[in-house]
Amino acid sequence: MANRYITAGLIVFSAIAFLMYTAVSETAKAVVTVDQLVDGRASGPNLRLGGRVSGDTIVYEAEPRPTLKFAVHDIPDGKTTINVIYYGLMPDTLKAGRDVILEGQYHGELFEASSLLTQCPSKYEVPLPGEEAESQKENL
Amino acid sequence: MVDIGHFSLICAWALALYAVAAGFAGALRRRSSVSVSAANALNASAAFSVVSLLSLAAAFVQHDYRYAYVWQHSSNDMHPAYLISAVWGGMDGSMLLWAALVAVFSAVCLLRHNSEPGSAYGGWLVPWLSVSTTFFLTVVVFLTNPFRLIPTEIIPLDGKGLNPLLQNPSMLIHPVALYLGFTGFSVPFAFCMAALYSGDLSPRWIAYTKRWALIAWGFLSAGIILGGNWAYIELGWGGFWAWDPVENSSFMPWLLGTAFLHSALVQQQRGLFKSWNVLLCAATYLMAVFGTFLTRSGIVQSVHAFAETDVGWVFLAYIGALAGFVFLGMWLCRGELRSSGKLQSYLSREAAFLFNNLLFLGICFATFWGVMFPVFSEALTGEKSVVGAPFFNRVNGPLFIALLFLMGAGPLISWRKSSIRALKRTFAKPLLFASLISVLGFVLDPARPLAAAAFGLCAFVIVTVGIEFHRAMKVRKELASESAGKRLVSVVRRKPHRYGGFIIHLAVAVMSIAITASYVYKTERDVVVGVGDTVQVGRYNFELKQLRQVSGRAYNALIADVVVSNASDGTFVAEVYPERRFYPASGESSTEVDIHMDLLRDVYVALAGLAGTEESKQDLSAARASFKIFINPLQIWLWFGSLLMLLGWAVIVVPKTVEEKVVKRRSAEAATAGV
Repeated sequence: MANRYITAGLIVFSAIAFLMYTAVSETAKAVVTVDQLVDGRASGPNLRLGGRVSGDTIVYEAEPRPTLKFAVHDIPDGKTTINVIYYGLMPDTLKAGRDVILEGQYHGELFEASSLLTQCPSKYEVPLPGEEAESQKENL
Repeated sequence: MVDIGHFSLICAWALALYAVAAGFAGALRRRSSVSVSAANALNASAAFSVVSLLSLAAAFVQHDYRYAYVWQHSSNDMHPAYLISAVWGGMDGSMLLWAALVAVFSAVCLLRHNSEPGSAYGGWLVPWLSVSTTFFLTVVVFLTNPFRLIPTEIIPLDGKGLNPLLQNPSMLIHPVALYLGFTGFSVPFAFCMAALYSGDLSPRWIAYTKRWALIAWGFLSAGIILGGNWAYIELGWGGFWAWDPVENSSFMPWLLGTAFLHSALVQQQRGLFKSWNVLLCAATYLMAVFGTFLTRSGIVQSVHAFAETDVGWVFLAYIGALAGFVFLGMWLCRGELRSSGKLQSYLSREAAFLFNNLLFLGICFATFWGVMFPVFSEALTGEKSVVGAPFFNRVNGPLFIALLFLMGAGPLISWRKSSIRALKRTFAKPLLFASLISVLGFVLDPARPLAAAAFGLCAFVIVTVGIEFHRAMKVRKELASESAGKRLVSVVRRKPHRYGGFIIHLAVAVMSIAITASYVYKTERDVVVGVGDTVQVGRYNFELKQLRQVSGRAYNALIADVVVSNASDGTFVAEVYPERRFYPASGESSTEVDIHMDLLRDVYVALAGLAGTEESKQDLSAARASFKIFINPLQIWLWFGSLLMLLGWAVIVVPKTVEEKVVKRRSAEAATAGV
C-alpha cells in the first residue's frame, strides 16, 4: 500500500522536477551590478540589472517610437554609470534617484532593457522629521 | 488625554502573554480553573486589541499627527473612507490589524467551541490559540508599534499623505479579506496542535479544523481575487497577476489550504491521510506567516513589498519553533496517526485526491522555489539569478491543467475501487466532448496545444458538474413537484458541502477559461495619437476627441476623451475617459485607466502622458498623447467566475450557521411549548 503512495509521489514529482529544470534553464536571469558589467565580469543575453537612476540623465521621446534613455549607477552611490535604452512608455514613477530593476541584454556600453520596473514608492516609509536630520548628518 | 490606543495594546499584549503561560500550565497540570482563567484572559486580550485598532482608526480620522504613523500615511485632504484604509496602508498598522484579527478569531473560536471555556482538548486549545495572538502582539508592541510619537517638539499641521495607488475602493476590503484569510488559519492550526498535544485525534478535530479552514479559505480567496482586481484596475499594465513575491506569498498558503480541504475529506470518509493532514494543516498556517516574513524582510526584491526591516527574521524564528513543536507532537502521537484504511486502487476517489494533493503541493513547491530562487541560486552557485513570470507560467500552467482533469473526474469516481467499465459509463460522453473542444482549439491554433487542452478540460469540468446537477435534480423531481429553480435550491441545500463544492469547481473552470484566454490571446500596444486623430488596435479604432485638464480633491488630472469604434464597419462601441493624476502633496502621479467591458472582451485604455515637445504640450487642443491599449478577451468571466466561487463558498459556510440557529430556536420553542 505504501508503494502506491510512493509511486504516485515519484511520478508527480519527477514531472514537476522536469518542468522546473527546463523552465529555470530557459528563463533564469543573472543578477548583475553596474560595476560587474563595466569590468566585464558579467555578460550574456539574460540579465537583471538593479541600479539607481543617475541625476538629470532621463531623456524621453514619445515619437516616432516611445524611447526612454537614462543612466544608472550602483546603489547607493556607484562611481561608474551605464547608459540604458528602453523602448516603451515612461512609467509614472521613474525619476532621478529612484531605484529601478531592468531586464535585458548588455551590448558593451549600452544596456538594452526589455522590461523596466521602478521600485514602488510605497516601499519606502517617509523618514520622520527628526530622523531625517540625523541621517543627513551621518552622510556629512 | 491618556493614550487609549497604546494603553489597550499593552494590556492586550500582557493578557495574551498571561493566557499562554496559564494555558500551558493549566493543560500540563490538568487544572481546569487555570485553563478557564487563560481563556478569559485571551478573550479580554481580543477586546483590548480591537479597542487599540479602533483608536488608531480614530487617530486617522481626527488627523492626530502626534503619531508618526498617522503623519506618514495620511493627510488633511484625503477622502474619509481612505483614512480608514490608511490604517493598514503601512507596515505598523497592517501588523496591528493582523494581531487584532488573530485575537478576535481566537476569541470567537473559544466562544463557539467551548461550552465550558478552557476545557476543550483537556485545556490544550487555549494555549495554542494564545501563542499566535501573543506572537503578533509582541511584534506590534516592540517592533512595529503604530503608536510611536513623532520625535519633534511641534506637531505637524498636515501629514505626508497616502500613496495614491492605495487610494482605491479595493484597498478598503482587499487587505482585510486577505488578512482574515491568513489569520483565520491560526484557528485550524490551534485545533491541530491541541489534538496532537491532548492525544485526542478522534475524527472531530478534522471536522472542526475543516470548518474553520473553509472560512479562512473563503476570505483568502476573496482577498487574492480583490488584489487581482485592484491590480487590473489601478496599476495600468493590463494584467491581474504577475507572480510577484507579494502575490505568491498569499497564493502559497491558499494552495496548501485548498489541498488540506480536499485531503481532510479523505480522512473523514476513509480514515486515510492522517499524518498528512496534520502536516498540511500546520504548513498552511506556517506558510501564511512565512508570507509575512517574505513581504517584510526584504529577502527578495518585489515591486510592492513593505519597507525592508529586521522584523522578518523574528517571523522565521517563530516558524522554526512552531515547526519543531508540530514534529514533536506528531512523534508523541505516532501510533494514533496511522491510517485506519488502505489505498486499494489508483482507480478510486481517494487516489484522485492523492494526485490532487500532490499537484497542489507541487505547485506550491514550484512557486516557493521560484520566489526563493535568488536566495537558493546564490547559496548553491555563488551567483545570484532570478526567475520571473515565464518560469511560473511554464511550470504551473501544465500542473493546473492536470488539476483541471482531476477536478472533472475525481468527484464522479467511486470510493475504494472503481472498474474500467464504470469509468467508461461515467466519462465516455464528457471526455468525448472535451476532446472535440481540444481538437477544435488545436486545429484553429496549432501553435498553442496547452491552451487547447486547457479549454477542453474546462469544458470537461463544466459538463461533469452539469451532469451531476442534472442527475440530482431528476431524482428530486420524482420526489416532489417543484419549479426548476426551487428544485435546484433544495438539491444544493440538502448537501451543501457536495453541491457548494461543485459550484466552486464550476467557478474555477470558468475562471480558467478567462485566464487561459487572456494569457494567450491578449493584445497589447503602445500608441501615440494627436487630438482628432485615429489609431487602430486589433479590431477597434481609437479616436482621441480631446484632452482636458481637471482638478479634483487633492490632485490635478489630465483626461483624454477617446471614442472606440469597430474598425470593420465604423460602428460606435464606447467612449472611454482614461486619466492621469498628479498629487502635489506627495509629488506622485497615478494612472486611472478606463475599461469598456463586455461579455467577449475588455477594451482597456491607459493614458501614459503627453507626447511631443514642451511647447506643444502647452496647447491641449493640438497636443499629442501616448496611450497603452490592451484588448483582453473574456476578461469579465474571470470576475463572474470569482463571484460564483464565493457563492459556492457561501453555500457551504453560511447555511449551516443559519440552520443551526433555526434548529436551536425551534427546539427551544418546542421545549417551551411542551412546558
